[in-house]
Amino acid sequence: MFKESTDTANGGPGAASDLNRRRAPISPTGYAWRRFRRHKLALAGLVTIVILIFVAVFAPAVAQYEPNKINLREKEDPPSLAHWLGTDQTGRDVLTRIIYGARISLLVGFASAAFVTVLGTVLGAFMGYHGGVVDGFLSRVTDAFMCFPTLIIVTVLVAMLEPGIQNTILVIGLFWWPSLARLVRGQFLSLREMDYVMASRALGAKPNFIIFRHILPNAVGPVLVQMTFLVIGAILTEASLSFLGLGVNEPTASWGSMLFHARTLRILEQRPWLWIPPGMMIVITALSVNFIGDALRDAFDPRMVIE
Amino acid sequence: MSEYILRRLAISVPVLVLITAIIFVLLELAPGDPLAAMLAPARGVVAPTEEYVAELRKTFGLDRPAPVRYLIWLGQVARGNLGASVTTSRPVVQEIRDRLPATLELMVISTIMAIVIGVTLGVYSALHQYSFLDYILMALSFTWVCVPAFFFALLTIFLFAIHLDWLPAGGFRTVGIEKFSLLDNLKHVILPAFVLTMGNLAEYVRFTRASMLDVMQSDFATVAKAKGLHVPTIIFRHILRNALIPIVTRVGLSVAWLFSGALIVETVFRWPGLGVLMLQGVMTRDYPLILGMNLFISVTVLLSNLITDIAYAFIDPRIRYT
Repeated sequence: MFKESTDTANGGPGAASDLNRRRAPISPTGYAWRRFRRHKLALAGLVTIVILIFVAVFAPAVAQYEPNKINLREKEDPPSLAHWLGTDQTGRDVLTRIIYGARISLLVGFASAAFVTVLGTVLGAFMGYHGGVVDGFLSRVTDAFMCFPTLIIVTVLVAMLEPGIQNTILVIGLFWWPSLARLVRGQFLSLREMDYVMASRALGAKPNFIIFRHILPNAVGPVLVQMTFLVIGAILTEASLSFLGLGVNEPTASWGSMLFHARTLRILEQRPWLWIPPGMMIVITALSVNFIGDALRDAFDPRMVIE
Repeated sequence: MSEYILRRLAISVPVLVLITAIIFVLLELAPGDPLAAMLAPARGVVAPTEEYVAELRKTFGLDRPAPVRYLIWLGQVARGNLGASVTTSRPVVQEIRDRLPATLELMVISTIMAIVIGVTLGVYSALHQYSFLDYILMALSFTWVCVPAFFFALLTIFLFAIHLDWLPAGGFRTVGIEKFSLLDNLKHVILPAFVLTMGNLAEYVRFTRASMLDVMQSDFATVAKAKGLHVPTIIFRHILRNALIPIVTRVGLSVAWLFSGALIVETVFRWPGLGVLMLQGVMTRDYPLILGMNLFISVTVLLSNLITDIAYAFIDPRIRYT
């Protein structure tokens, strides 16, 4: 899936005819989309994510039951026609809770990634473009932040701030920006030496204009790819926090919190339908994003030209 | 060489200061007064008077401005005093020292497993590029980053401990056995170490593969081949020895990851190490304990990065960063 992609990205026979048919000039984004489309697994990943978003948004319409409705007469029922994935310790429908859990995972995943991206891109762009003392100082700050093992510092901070979705997103954002800032800084260090930047500066453009209009659009590819890793990381971190009992608060369903009770051997051994499906959902979601990221890496790689 | 080491050390000093500053700010922001924690045991006996509290505040320097308190705190940290746990009243350093060996055992065994398995598979992948197994390994390492450690841990317990009943499902040793037996302990470490390994394994495979392929392209490899050397000699004497150099950095860089992984793995396998202690501290809101542990862990990560860089320069004389 990696090798074959690089091989085909250099232009198979299909690519050439595709290009000949349409003579109209294609934008860089158009090229990127063409390269992206080649990756069947990435398209599958994209479809999966879209379906998940749809299901999450329309959860009340999609789900058969109430996510938090306790029904002690039907507790720990194995999968059946009425409850496709069985019921949990308090008789809540597992499938319904998985559907509602998608809201938490996707929200935390995308919101944290967006937060980190904004923070990291702005700081990284500033560091890379201006350099100097501020860059030196911020570089040491990124070094310091990166010495904190993510999951551990996030666990501690979320506990300090009270567990919850907003705090999870906030803390992930606050502690993950350094990795992205470093990436953007590196991009800016090389891009700022380009002739078009020099030309723009000679014409009297202000630094902010050059940063956002000229350099940033050229750094979009690597940032997008890094974003997919951030989404995966945030989804896994939220799941881990909820699994440890520090993520969402009961009774809100989250895929990670649904595995919380599997820490007891009885549930683990005798009630696999309670923990295997939500665990698989985490893997499937993360894998879909990963496929998309892999295709984006090819799509935005400037060394790969279709012609 | 010494200039490089000095430069590297000089960069680490401000990072160390920043780490301590971050921890200090968090300690300041943490809810609860350090004095309240200190006076807590006496609470039931006699309520401390206002004057007494003010007096204590002065003795401990709590009435001084924040930067001064930071320096006082830093001085104490430098002397190995990280304060006392709120729940057990024992020094934080003591708590860490008690739990460290178990975590170290887990990390060391897991790292050895990761290196041995990872390097072997990576070398195979590089020598048989685009072979079936190469694709499988690449696909696995691609999938691997998407599997949460706790889910994988639960799956291994489900399979190897419950259904196959090969290994114990958790704990440090079998309950009921009076004497500590190494064999029994090792049996308990295999599953958690395996789960911790898997988080790292993909990285080692990818790293070794890339490094091997890189070295195989180099001129000296071509020369060795042109000389007509025995192929295994080329691979093991010339290529592998050079390809392994970057792996050294991998070991150092994995330390931060190992701590995060230990939090999850120790919790699932009830392994009595730092991770479990951390979670207990979080649950009981024992801020001196968890922030003290955070300081210890982040400084350890900083030191391991530093040692890695220096070791790298020693092993590979070509490295000279300016």
